[in-house]
This record gives sequence, C-alpha cells and structure tokens, in this order.
Amino acid sequence: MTDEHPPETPSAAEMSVAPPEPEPRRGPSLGQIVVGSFLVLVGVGWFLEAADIADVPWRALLPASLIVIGAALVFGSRTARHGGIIALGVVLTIAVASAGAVEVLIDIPITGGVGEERAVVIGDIEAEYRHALGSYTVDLRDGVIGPGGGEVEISLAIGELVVIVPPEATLEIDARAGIGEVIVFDRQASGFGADLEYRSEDGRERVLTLDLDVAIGKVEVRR
Amino acid sequence: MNIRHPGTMVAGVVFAIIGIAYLLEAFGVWQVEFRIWPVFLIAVGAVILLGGRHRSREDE
Repeated sequence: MTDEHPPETPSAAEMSVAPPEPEPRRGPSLGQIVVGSFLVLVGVGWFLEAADIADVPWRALLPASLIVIGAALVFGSRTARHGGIIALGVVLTIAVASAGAVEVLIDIPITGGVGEERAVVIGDIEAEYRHALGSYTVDLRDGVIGPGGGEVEISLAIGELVVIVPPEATLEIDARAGIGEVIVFDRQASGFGADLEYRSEDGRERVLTLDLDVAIGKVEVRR
Repeated sequence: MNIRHPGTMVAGVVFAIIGIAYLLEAFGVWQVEFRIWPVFLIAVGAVILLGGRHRSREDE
C-alpha cells in the first residue's frame, strides 16, 4: 500500500463551469472617429486632386474639420467630457483663424528700408515699392498710368503703410494685413488676415491695380 | 437627449459655428469680421461656467 493518492479528477460540477462571457463589443471611441474622419477627408480630397477629378479647395479643409469636431463633441457630450478633442478643437480654431494671416506673412518679402519713408511718385509708376520696417507712405497722385493701365505691388513687413492714390484714377485695390488693420477710403477691416477689395465703378480703360500687403500693422488707402 | 457634459456640448456648438463661418469665407460667401471674436470669448466663458455648475451639482 502506498500513501499516494490518485490525482484528483475535476468533478462534473467543475467541468461544467461556463466559459467566460465574451467582452461586450466596443465601438470606436469618439477620438478615433474624429481622427479617422479627418484622414478619410484628407485622403479623398488628395485622391480627387491627384486623379484630376476635382480641384479641392484646401482652404476649406480646416473649417470642415472643425465642423466635424464640433458635431462629434455635441454627440459625445452625452457620455464623457472629451477634453482631448476639445483641446484639438481649440488648436484647430487658432489654426483656422490665423490661416489668412500666415498666408500674408509668408507672402511678404522683407526687403526695403527701415524707418520713416515717403515715396512721392512723379512720372511713370513703378511695378513694386517695398519697405521693411516703420512708416511708409507712397504718394501716387502725380504718377502716370500707362495706356494699358498699371499694376503696382506695395508691401511693408511691419509698420504703417499709407498709399495716396490719384483722385480721378479708376482703381482695383486688394489690400491685406496679416495681423492688423486695413482701411480703404471709408471701409475698414481688422484682425487676423484682414482683407479688403475695392473696385471703381466708372469703367475707364486705364485702371490702376494696387496689390497692398502689410504683414503686421496697418495699411490705409486714401485719395 | 440626456446631456451629462453641457460644457462639452457648448464647445461643440461653438466649434461648429466657427467652422461654418470660415467655410463660408473659404467659398467667398461671407467675410469673417474680427468683431465676432468677442462672441466666441463669451461662449468659452459660458462653457467654463456651465462646466463648473455641473461639477458642483455632481458634488452635492
């Protein structure tokens, strides 16, 4: 005889233990939905453009993404706070608001003088007037517009730009400030990417086209 | 609709409104004026207030 016992066999009750319940199926989190939607949106746009099917307005991408985030937060407010997605929304809001400003800031060449300068144009109007920093006045009242009209680009990186136009000229003006203020006669705009367009309605042939840019500061057009 | 986090919902509405405003601007339908930004500041304040109120109710 030995003291050894045969190995215990599991009882029938033990053998009939139910298998563990499968975990309930969890859908994608709100963050995954937002990121996934964003990637799909960018991918579809990129594909359409690469395949020459459509010209995608990329400027609309950031606002569209912000709308997706907003809708996701409204939907998700029933379940959790979603601080991460709110933070993403804040970052995107800043990006959307400053997109116009960045466009102007990148566009402006930092060339020309520094300090206070007044350019009085007598005779032919040149195609470009640049100033880097300070106060810059371009007086075009005595400038001569060629028979085919004239196109002038005037830019200032940081400071105040004043453009005085001939009183009788037919004008097409596009004035932009990356961050700051734009005044064209009696109209005013300010903030990030402030932009004003002006078209004379007298329809003469000699049109003076002004493209005015200030990265940070103020641009004013007066007669 | 049972909203457990009204602050999150307000934030969502604000983001959606900003997105719609800038989308309209991208398509040249509307020009976003700098003057509307204080409205968003008010909205952010409202989010903080609503969030705080909700939290204090949960604590009671």
